Amino acid sequence: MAGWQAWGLLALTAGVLTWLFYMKIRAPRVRVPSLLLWAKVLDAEREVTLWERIRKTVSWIVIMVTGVLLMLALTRPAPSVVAAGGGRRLIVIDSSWSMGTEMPSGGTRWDRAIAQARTLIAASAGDEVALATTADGLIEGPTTDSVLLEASLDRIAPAGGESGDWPQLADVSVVHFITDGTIPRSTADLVASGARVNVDPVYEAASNVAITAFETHAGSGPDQQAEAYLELANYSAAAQPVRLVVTRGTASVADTSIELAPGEAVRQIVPLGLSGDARVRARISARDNALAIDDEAVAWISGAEPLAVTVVSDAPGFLQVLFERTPGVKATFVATGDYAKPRTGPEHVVIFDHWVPAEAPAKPALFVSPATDGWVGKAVTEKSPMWSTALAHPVLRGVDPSTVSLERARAVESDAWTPVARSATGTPLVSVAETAEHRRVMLGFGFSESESNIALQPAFPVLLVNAIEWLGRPSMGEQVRPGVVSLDAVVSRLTSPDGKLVEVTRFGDAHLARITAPGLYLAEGGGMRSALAVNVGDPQVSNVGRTSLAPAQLAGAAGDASNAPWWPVLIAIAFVFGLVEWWTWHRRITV
Amino acid sequence: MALSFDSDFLKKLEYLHVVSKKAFAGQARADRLAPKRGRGLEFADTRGYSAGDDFRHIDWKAYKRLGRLLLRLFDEEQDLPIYLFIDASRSMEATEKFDQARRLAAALCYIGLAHLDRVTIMPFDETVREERTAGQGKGRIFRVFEQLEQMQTGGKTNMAESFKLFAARGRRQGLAVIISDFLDPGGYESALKVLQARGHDVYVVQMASKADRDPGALGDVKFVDTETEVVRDVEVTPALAAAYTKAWEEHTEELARFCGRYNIGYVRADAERPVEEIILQTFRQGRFVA
Repeated sequence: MAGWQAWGLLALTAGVLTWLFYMKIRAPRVRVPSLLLWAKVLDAEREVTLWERIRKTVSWIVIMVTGVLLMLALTRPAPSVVAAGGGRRLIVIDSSWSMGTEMPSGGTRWDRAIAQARTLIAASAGDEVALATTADGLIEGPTTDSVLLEASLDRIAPAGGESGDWPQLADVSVVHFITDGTIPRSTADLVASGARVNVDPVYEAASNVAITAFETHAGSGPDQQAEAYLELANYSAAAQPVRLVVTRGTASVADTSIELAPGEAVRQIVPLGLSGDARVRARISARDNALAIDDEAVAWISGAEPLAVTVVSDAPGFLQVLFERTPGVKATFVATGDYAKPRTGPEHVVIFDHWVPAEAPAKPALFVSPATDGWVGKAVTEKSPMWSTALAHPVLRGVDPSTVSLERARAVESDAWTPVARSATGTPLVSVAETAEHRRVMLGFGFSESESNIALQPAFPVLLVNAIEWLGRPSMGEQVRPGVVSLDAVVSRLTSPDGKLVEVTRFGDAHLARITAPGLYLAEGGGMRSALAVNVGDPQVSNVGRTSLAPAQLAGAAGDASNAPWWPVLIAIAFVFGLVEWWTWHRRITV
Repeated sequence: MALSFDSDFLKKLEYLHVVSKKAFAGQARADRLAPKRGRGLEFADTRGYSAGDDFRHIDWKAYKRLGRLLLRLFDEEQDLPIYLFIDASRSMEATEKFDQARRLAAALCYIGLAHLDRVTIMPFDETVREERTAGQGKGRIFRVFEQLEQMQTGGKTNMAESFKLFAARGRRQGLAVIISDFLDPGGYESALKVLQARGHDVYVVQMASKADRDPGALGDVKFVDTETEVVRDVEVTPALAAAYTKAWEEHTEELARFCGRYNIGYVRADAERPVEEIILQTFRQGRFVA
């Protein structure tokens, strides 16, 4: 509130109260038999008239003080420690997920933090104030416009960021860090910058139950069920039943109640069935459950939806045998002469066996022994190559080259390809190509006995499945938490559960996205689609019954009246003053 | 206001009579002993016969024994003049004081009429308005009721002027009963002294009401004098209210003390109390009726 507004409000309040005061004491007319005795009494009492006037004045003053207190309460005065004139201030709000904890006294820690920030802003009238959160960094300011800052407060919400850096701002004299202390953060950097750091705690112990871990994996064989691994924890001082519901798509696969002892964490394996939707969701509910964000977890069974592979070959041979025995892969065999004909159904990966199409395919492709010049590269051949050099790459994970004996290499090379396995003479044996538009793998050898013995070795299914998985399903990691997430390089588009696009930023080869809410995200790029499961899944966040703040900080905040908002106290005092004045007026003690 | 008493109360009133500390000469034969000897039935004394005496009262038995003419004397029983002064000023109109005063006057009238006393009702404010004699005998009580019912309040209180005017009329000495709240700016002392100086046996009945004793309203009040319409702004604090109550009590005590000093009968009649209770208890305890 600007100065002239405050003075105007003060004058208006005083005027209204004075008018009401004299309205209140307007005398009624009372007819009496005679004023004879009243005259005697008043003559005798005349000497105390001055005292009566003093008492009346005191009553008026009490009313005025009451009004001023109410007016001050409306303007939300600030603690003395943040009195204006102290230089530039930085208000940092801890936006970790634990701030969403419902407090036993009502409201959430976040609500209290926002209220505290508003108080600080109001008290810093005339000073520059910057607003930041641990998740988003600097979000507003530095500015003296309190309306701008208040509007920023309306926009922000808990969004993780437990390990983010402190916002950098020059010439800050005071930093107010509003936190519940659930996630410990050192303020040493802020102190070192020369700023005075005030930690404003909003902690109040609460009980909570949480899903602290959730993961799924598809069955390794056609007759094996997919499974979900769960970890549930009870962060409360009392035992309580926890209801667990697990759904796969829209089908419920588990609905059970688990009795959890105080502080107990249990791990559960939930069978998810032989087939079904790739989306798996777990949800818990309990009596004492202060934090909602950790009550739900999601997962994506990457093998639940089979990859559609088209094999373009005139003699599929070993490939046909392999794919008949590989779960999660649905292969379609097409002769090279029929490649150009339109095909129906999904097609995630195309395998070109000893043949290369005239134009580059739009889908992710695996080229087996291409050895032909053209758009794919320059043909390179070598007899009896020795597998001598290999780079760490998902395609080669688990492949033992020592078991592989090659009779002939028929590869291609160009700048587009990155060899991840070479022969001793440098002939590329396994190459990969990865751009924003496509992924490709080239195997510089065939599978027939005249080319190699790999078809008879364990490396054969491992190499092929690795290549198809890498081509068809971008890797998203096993479990992702909100915050800055590193994505597979092929992912160019990320969609949140509510259908909004999440910005994907490239730093060199790294693709990064900032995820602010848990849920199942859709990742797309290079002709592939996959899902990214984001869960809080952090015992440190879910254990909202403890804090890293020192007892002195908590006690100081509770006991230091200067840190507490004044306006409730002012309203209470005004109420007491009004009550006393009203009572004394009716008792005729004052006027 | 309609005046009426139930038959039980009237029967109780018939057994009472107004007590006068003095014997007064009446106009007609009645139940009260007159100061002179007369033609009553009760033998009082004898004296020597003088020429002109009624020889019918000569005691011939004494003449036979003593040889002297003696005259038999008898007590004279006459009526008692009762003057009922009713304060009809505007200060009496509040909180039923005037109604209560008329009820008391009616009861006293009935007692007097039942004993053949001569009752005269005189309302007064700044002066004595009128003077009506009820006559003698219980049968006159209805006229008294009618007269009292038609009585209205008005004007200011001026007891001194009113009683001086009454004294100037030279009425026979008798019992003067003043029913008033005695809230007279001019004071009541001289007025009562005038009546007593004229030889009347004076009785004071002080009418009081809760409104007189307790100011009631607290805070800033504009008090309006009913008689004078004078307005006065008063901040009635609890202390001031207590001071007023104390002043009223002092006023009452002062009146009672004055009456005691001048041998004037005094009783207090509260407007809130039943008239039967005032007559049968308060008046009897005050030896006003017996």
